[in-house]
Amino acid sequence: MNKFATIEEVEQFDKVTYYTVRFEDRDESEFENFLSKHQDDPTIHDEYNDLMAWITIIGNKIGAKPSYFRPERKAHALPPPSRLVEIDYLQNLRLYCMWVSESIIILFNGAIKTQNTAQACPNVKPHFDLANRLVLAIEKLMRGPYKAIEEDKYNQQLIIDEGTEIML
Amino acid sequence: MKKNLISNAFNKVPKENKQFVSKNLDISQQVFAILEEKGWSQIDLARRLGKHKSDVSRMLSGLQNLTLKTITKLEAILETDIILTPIKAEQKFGTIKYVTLTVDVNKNDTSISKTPHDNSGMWKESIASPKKSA
Repeated sequence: MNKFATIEEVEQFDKVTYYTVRFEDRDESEFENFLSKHQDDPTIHDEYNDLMAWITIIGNKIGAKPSYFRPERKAHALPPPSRLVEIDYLQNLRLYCMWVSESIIILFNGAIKTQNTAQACPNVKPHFDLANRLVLAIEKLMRGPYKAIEEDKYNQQLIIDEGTEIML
Repeated sequence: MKKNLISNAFNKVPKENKQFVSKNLDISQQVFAILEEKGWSQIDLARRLGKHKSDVSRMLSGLQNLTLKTITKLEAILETDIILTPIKAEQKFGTIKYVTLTVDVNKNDTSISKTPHDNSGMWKESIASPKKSA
């Protein structure tokens, strides 16, 4: 059975606008769910706050420069150009996102990694798999014959045709 | 309510976390600038450090807790300072003179006069108003 989702804005900073994805059958968007799950977890309190600070500073001062958004290795196995990025610079917390440009990032979900690799971790793997599918679906909408999603570089925004849904 | 979740996440970050990440990113930006100047890639740096490229990416992500040992090792390999205390910076670069230019948009005259800003040695350039004829 197909699942449908829409893209919505999280926050527009000076240099980066962050978006996320919301599934039609869920109350929270993917990034809101990530925040809800982790904001009060004492085991990763510091990591969580560091990550929020990082997203803000990259957003306000630096921009989403490619050097800070290293592509997830597995993504190279997918049809190019795949822009799935795993923010895995913290000790245990992992967040997946899609790098669209230095001005646009789509934040997905993530979890606390409990195994050596994300793919082996039952917490993180579902988010990795979903992020992969979302990236492919969004890229089709951006690069397909009918571009339902385009980047407005001047206003640092995504232009999304009304009624556009991501179908998984 | 939902929007509060996101705005709280970004606005209620403790100052120490912001300061840590900010300084960390300052360091990584400085390293990237030095690498560009030298024409080195991150792989070149990794090779000289005896590490994998992924280790260098992690090091320069802005989220790693870099030790002073790591920073000074980077400085040694890059043959330049990455961080300087204010005292060291002043010793190295001396006093910097500033010139400020003030423009009065209501005036027509384009003559420019230099005026001392204050005793600090700063000068202010200002566009003077035309002298009215008697």
